Order: sequence, then structure tokens, then C-alpha cells
Amino acid sequence: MLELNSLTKRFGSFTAVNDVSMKIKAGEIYGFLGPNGAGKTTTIKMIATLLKPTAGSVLINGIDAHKYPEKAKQYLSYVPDQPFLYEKLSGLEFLRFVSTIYGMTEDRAAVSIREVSEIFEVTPWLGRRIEDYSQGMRQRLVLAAAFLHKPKLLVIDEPMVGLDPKGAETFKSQVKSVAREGAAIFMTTHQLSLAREVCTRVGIINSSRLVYEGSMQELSGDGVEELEKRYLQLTA
Amino acid sequence: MLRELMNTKFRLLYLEGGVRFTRHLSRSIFSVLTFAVFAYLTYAVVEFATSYLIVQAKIGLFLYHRLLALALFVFFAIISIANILVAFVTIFRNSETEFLHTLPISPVEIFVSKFLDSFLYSSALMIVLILAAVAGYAGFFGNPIVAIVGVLFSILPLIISAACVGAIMLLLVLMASRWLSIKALVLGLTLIYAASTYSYVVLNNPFRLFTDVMKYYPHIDKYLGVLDPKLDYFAPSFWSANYFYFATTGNLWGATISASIVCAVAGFLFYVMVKLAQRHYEEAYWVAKHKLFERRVKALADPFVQGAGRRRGRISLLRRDFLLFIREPSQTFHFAVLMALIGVFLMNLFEMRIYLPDRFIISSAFTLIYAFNSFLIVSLAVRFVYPMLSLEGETMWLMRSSPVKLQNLFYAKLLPAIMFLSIVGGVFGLAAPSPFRNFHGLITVSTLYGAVGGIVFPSVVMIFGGAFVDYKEKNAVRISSSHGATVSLLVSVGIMVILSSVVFSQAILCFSSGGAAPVDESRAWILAFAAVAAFYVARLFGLRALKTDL
Repeated sequence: MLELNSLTKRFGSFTAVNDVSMKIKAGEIYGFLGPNGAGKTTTIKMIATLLKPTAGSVLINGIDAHKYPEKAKQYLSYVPDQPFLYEKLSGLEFLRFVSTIYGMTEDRAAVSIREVSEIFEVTPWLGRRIEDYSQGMRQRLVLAAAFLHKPKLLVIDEPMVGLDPKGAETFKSQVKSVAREGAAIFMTTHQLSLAREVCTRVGIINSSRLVYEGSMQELSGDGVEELEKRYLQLTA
Repeated sequence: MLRELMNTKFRLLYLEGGVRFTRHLSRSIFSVLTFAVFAYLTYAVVEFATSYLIVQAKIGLFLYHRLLALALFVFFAIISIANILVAFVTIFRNSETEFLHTLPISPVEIFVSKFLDSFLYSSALMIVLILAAVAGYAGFFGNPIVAIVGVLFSILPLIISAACVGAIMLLLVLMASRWLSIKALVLGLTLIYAASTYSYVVLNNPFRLFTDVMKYYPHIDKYLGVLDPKLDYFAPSFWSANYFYFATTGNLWGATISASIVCAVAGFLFYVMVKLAQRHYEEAYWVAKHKLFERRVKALADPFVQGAGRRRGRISLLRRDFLLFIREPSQTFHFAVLMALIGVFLMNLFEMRIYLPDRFIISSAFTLIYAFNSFLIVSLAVRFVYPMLSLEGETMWLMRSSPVKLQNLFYAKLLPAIMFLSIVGGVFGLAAPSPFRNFHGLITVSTLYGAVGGIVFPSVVMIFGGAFVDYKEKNAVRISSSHGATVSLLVSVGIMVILSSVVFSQAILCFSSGGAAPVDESRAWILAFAAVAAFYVARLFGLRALKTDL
């Protein structure tokens, strides 16, 4: 579903992402880990076509995302690390707008909006303008919008920012559920416990290079402590 | 604390300016060149106009300085209104102000520092043009000392007074909004400004003044203060112009008194503003932040529902921009004020009758009306079209990560603007010839050129909106008073001058032939080509901006 081929991004003389390659299959939940400044967000931004790679390619469902962006992005949902939204729209207007840009029919949009709003518990807030939302409520709304059109590839940068424990639980179960239905999930996080709990495969990036890739079982062995130890070794 | 705040501000301005200059070198060099060309043109125009009025038209020093007073009054009113808007977004609804409120800084210090910030932020062009205009004045009269002292003790205090009046009005409106609806207050404020400007212009009607002054011929260089309406004494612009009159005629005492009055008024208004801020800024801040636009969206569930398929996606982009526009008070307020001004101007045009014997002068008068029409379109374009791309802001991630064609996003912004401004330009074109006898021949030419302006100006402004795009700044007023917006204004004015000269040549033809003015086909083709070219260059820059790395 997602294929990165020698993906590289340079900003002047600084190389933020260096020759990163990976393949993520449908149904996989891929945790992309790494310390601050390692190149996680830059990689994710290249996948979401917010940044143009200096070299390499991003294939979404076999389509080059930078050559045929509109086609490739039909399959993609992206959740940024900071949920900037249209402050003057209501939550419902925002979800409806998202449904139109993904070409959903009216009927399908109505059903899906009801569904995701209930899952992420934003229904009581839908009539209010987004400028009145708290950080956590915004994050819930962005997640609801991301799941709205049933994407084949979900790319999430730090999903837990601002979420309360219940919201976090909802997110985890929803991610597992869409993966079971055949979607691929690519997410970055600093919470190793979250990665341990939901991810099936892990990649670790350090100083712009992918330094580890393997199954979560291989990396973490029996528990979070082992995962922490290995992670610190790999990113030292 | 205020000193530290301002020091930091200046350091940031200096550092950011330096970084921006080197990072976007070609863009920066182009901006500097545009500023330089305009400064020179302003200098040349003022020197020529002064020379023409004094030497050719022989209107005398007194009348010349009364015209200067009138121009300074309009200038005063414009700065004051502009400062209401800029101060609102800078002093009251700004993330930096919000941050400053979390620090142990007194509210009045925040107010004063942000007041100076808003003043400096939007004044670069104004200061350059004023310096150039005063240099043009000094160039003719050959007295640079008068000009330097004039800038420091007459013009600068006048600008400060205007900015203070704007800030005071804003504070009063925000305080009064606790009891009265904001719509009524804004309407009241607009009426106050419109009535005072109208009364001043009526009281100081240049035609009447010309007749009165000429009764004293040949002593028209003498100070004919008896002709001044007493109400003028309350306008700082009057004293500012008086300084220049007295300084030029060698009356040092008169010049000192006039400059002292302007400075005293500025000091007094600044004092009143600070005192008012001391008492009411904190409260006004919370009113602006929470209470002023408190509203809930009820049953607004359906604006994105109608339509189907691909078309639905395109229409939803238009609807989104429309909703975001009408729900942003600073946008709707400014739009309403500009549309009201346009309405008043159009009504006046239809009622106005101008009878001038000389075909050169009558053609100049017609061209001036056309130029003013165009300037209004340019102002609308700079204020509302320039920020369109930048306003995508930090929410751009959604557009970029979704299957929206960026080309459609661009068209959803520029095409409605072009349609609207072409209609406004066309209506202006219809109205412009009506004050003149034998005008019918000009209607086609004038409407055509008006509509072309409605395509060219928003396109040109969009070029710069794309070239200087700033996704970090989310306030439309600040975006439209930024450096790039200023450059787009200057370039548009340059194009406006070229279009006006073409209109002038057509007007001469019309008024010479007693009414017939066929559209020159080759010129019409050139215009059509220019409009299409401007649109495509705008598309190029716009798409480049939309595709830029985020």
C-alpha cells in the first residue's frame, strides 16, 4: 500500500531524510519511531506530499504520489502533529467539507459523518465553531475526518497529542479495526507503550537514516522495558 | 519593560528583514527597485505639480497650501481608518498579544508596544512616499531645511495624531460594545468619518476657494486667513500645511507656532490614548477576544451538501472560502466600508456635472475619474485578493494531503474575484463619463477599460500574493499591509497609470470630435492580451505558491 524508495530530503546542506526505503502492506500498522529531529515528520510530510523529496519516490497503492498526486491521495488520510483547522467553520461543516473533497456522495457522507462523530465523541460539539474547541477536541475532530472516507492508507503524526485517556483508547481500537478491514497505517509516536500496543511493524530513524526495521515482536521481545532498552541502543 | 519590548521588536524586525532579504534575494531586489521607482515618481510628480500650479496656473502660495491642507486632511482620515483595522488585529486579536498577557507586563505597556508595532508594520510605503513628496516640494522651493524640519515636526506628528485617533476610536467602540451592538457602532463610526470628511471637503471646496482667493489678485501669495472656515482650526492637517506655508514664505514665527500646534496635538492625543488604555485596555482586550464576536453556529449543517460528483468538490471550495470570509469580522467590516464608499462615489458620479471649455483639461478630468475608479479596484484587490493564498495558512495541510486539484483551488480564489471586480470596473466605466457633456461616445471605451482593470489588477495582485505567500500569518489585514502587498500596490498603480494614459488619448479623441470615440482595435487587442497574460502569470505564481514545501 505504501512504498518509499530511497526517499531523501535536503534543506540546503542539511540532510533531513537520507535514503529511506520501506514497504508497508495493507492491514499493517507501522510505527515510525525516532528521537526529536531524526526526520520522522519530514518523512511523513513527503508521504502526504506536503514536502517535495530531493530524491526518491513515494508510491501509494502503486501510484507515484508526487507525479500523480490527485490520484494517489484518493487513498490517503493524513493527520498532522498540530491540528490547524478552519476556525470559523463548525465541526459539522468541516466534516462535510472533507467529505466533498474526497468525492463522497451525500448519502455516504451523512452516514459516515454520523458514524465517526459518534466513535470519536464529537457529536455534541458538531454545531459549534472550531474556534471554540479545546486542543483535545480538535484532535478528535481531525481523527474523525481522517477516518471519514475509509482511507486505504492512514498517515498519522503523533496521534496522542491532546487526547484524554478515553480518546486515546478510542483511537487505538479504531486503528486496529481499520487495519483489520485492510487499511495500512503509518504513524509516528514518542510513546513506546502505544507503539508496543498497536503496531505490528516498526521502523526506527536516527540522524536521518533508517537504522532498524522489523516486527514489533522482534524488537520488543516480552515487554515495553525491552523495547525501551533496544530503542535507546539504536538511537544512541 | 516597554523599552525592552520595543528593543526586541526592532531586533526581530532587523534580523527577520535581513534573513528574508538574503533568502529571497531576487524578490527583495525587485521590491527595493519598485519602492525606489515609486519614490522617484512621487518626487517628480509633486515637483512637477507644484511647478505647474505655481508657475503655469499661477494659483499663488496661499491657495497652493490650502490644497495641500485638503490633501493632508484626506491623508489624515485614511491613516486613521486604516489604523483602526490594523490596531484591532495587532493590539487585540493577535497571538503575540495573547502571549504578552501571560507575562508580568502591565496592560498599558502591551498596548503601547503593540500600537507602535502596528504603526511601524503598516507604514513603510507611507513613509517612503511622504519623504519623496516632501523632497519634491523642497525640490521646487529649493529649501531642504524646510522639508527636513517639516517631516520631523509637521508630517510625523500628523501621522501619529491620525494613528492615535484611530486607536482611541477603536478603544471607545470596544468599550461601547458592552451596551450597543457592534454593527450599530461600526455604522456610527463609518457615518462619523464619512460626515466629517464630507463636511471638510464641502467647507473647503477648492473651486469656491479659488474664486475667493482670485478676488485678491495679484496679492495671492499673501496669507488670506480670513477666507479659512473656522472649523479648519480643529484639523491638525490645517496647521501642518500652515507650517509649510509660513516656512516657505520666511515667516519663522508662524512656522514655529504651526509646527508647535501639530506637535502639541500629537502629544495630547497620545496622552489621551495612553490614559484611555490605562483605564480600559484590559477590559477592551477581553471584549475583543471573547465577547465581541461571540456567536454559535446553529443548524449550519448544509452548506457543503448540495451538488454532486466532481462539481460538488469544486463548489465546496468556493463555499468554504465564502463562509470563512463572511464569518471573519475584519474582512466583512472592511469590505462593507469600501463598498459603501464605492456606492457614495458612484452616486456622486451620476449626479455630478462638469463643464470645462478646454478639451485637454476636460480629458484630464475624465482620466482622473477613471484613475480614481481604478485605484478603488486596486485597493479592493490588494486588500482582499492579495491575502487569498496566504490565508490558506497552516490549514494548508488538508488541501495538500487530499485529492484536491491545486489548480481548482487557485481558480476558486481568483475567478470569483475577477468576476466581481470586472463587474465593479464595468459599472465604474459606465458611470465615469456621465458628468461630461457629449459623453456617450466614451461609454464603450470606459466600460471596456474598467472591466479590463477588473481582470488585470486582481491578477497582478495575485502574482505578488503568490510570490510573497506567507502561510504563517493568518490575519488578512496584516497580510494585506505587508511588504509584498505594498509592492503589489505600487506595481498595480504603475499599470493603472499606463491604462489611464491610454484612456486619456481616447478621451481627447472623443472630446475633440464632439462625442464620437470608436474603440481603437489594436489597443483593445493589446489590452486583451495583457489581461490574459496577467491571468496566466498569476496562475503560474499562484500554483507555485500552493505547491511550495510546507
